[in-house]
Amino acid sequence: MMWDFIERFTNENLVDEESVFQLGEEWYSVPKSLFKLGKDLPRHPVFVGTFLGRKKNNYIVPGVALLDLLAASKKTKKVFVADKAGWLFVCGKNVLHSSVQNVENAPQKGDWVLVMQSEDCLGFGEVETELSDAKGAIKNLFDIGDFLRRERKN
Amino acid sequence: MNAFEQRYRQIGGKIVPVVLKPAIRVNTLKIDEQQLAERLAAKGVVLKKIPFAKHGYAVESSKFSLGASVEYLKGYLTPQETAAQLPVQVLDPQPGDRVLDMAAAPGVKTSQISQWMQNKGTIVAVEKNNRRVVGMKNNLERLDAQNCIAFNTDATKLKEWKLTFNKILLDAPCMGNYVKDKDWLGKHTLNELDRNTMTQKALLAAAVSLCEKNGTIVYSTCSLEPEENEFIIDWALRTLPVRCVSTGLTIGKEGLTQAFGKRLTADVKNTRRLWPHETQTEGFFVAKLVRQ
Repeated sequence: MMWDFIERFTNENLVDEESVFQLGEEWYSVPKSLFKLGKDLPRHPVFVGTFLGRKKNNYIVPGVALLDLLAASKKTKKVFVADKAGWLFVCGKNVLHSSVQNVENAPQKGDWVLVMQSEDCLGFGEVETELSDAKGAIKNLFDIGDFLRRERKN
Repeated sequence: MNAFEQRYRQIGGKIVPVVLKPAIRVNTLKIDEQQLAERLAAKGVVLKKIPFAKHGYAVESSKFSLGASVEYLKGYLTPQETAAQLPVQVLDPQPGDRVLDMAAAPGVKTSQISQWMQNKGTIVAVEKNNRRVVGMKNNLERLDAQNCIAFNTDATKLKEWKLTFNKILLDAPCMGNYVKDKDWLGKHTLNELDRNTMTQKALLAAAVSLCEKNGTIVYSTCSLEPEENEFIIDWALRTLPVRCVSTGLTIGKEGLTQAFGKRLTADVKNTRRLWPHETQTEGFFVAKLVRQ
């Protein structure tokens, strides 16, 4: 599932497969020393190394580190938005096409795109209609405001 | 007069309402301090370097809560009270160390350890309270702590795992203090001390058994009660193979060497006690022990 998720954005090998450690329904990228420790100890860890993402229903909820890896790739499709639209996006709203200031790698209808505020990846969404449709919007599929929502739930 | 205030007066303290300035730690794993300061300045946020806390800044003014900002969500900063930034500074973890964080939730100090280690070396973080694990995981993820393995277990049981560490942080569960909670004085009684000190002694004894010879243990609390602080260190110096050395901190006062008619081991003065009315921080206590 994790690999399918990454392939929605790029066919590059962004994560070393051998470093990936699955913990229940969560995936981590783990340095060798921690990997061995995690295997040797009598109890399962609850967190180890770099969190890549978790399964939620039939979707992947990506970790911030994975989003940053995707954002660092020159091949992934991106839309760039200004501060106000960026903040609305992290509050769970969609991105109006009229708020998109710039794009990278020509996103088209049906694509998953990273939503960027300058160099910061704020999450990702799906282009529901062509970006030329001024009334359209990019559907919010995940945003980093999730941290605040998780904290409130907790 | 409240029972706590009576006690504090006997040991040179008092209860004075303190308005804490919000403080943040810049997470240099993700951004340069100068870069973040400039970025926030452009949004009208005025920061002031805290002279005694590496990477620590007081928020002098801001029109929005930094705890609900893109900079927070991206892990460039984390709200962390000034005094709470000090235990890791005293521990001084370095790249390549093997560090144990014994009461790790909510993971802010654990991530601070990762920052000091530049994500190199190993941190074993342990939290006993299951309900606090989710928050800890969120912080470890947000703040990019990559060299950490965390467990939901009781740190006193780690002896069975046959691990040793050269640095250990025990930010012990404690009674807290009156600064952050205006109802604190009405909520707490001295009866809690017995149970707390039993837990603190058990955790500190476990820390000593898990620490390598010449390794460092930092014991801290956000309590002002000598029973949870100087008395615990006095007990450790009398019964465990440790010595108490200077924390290197300039803020706060030397630890008490006598309180409530009890005379303590002289080296307890090497600990540091932060009275809120003097330091304008929350109440805090830090001790640095070296395993013999």
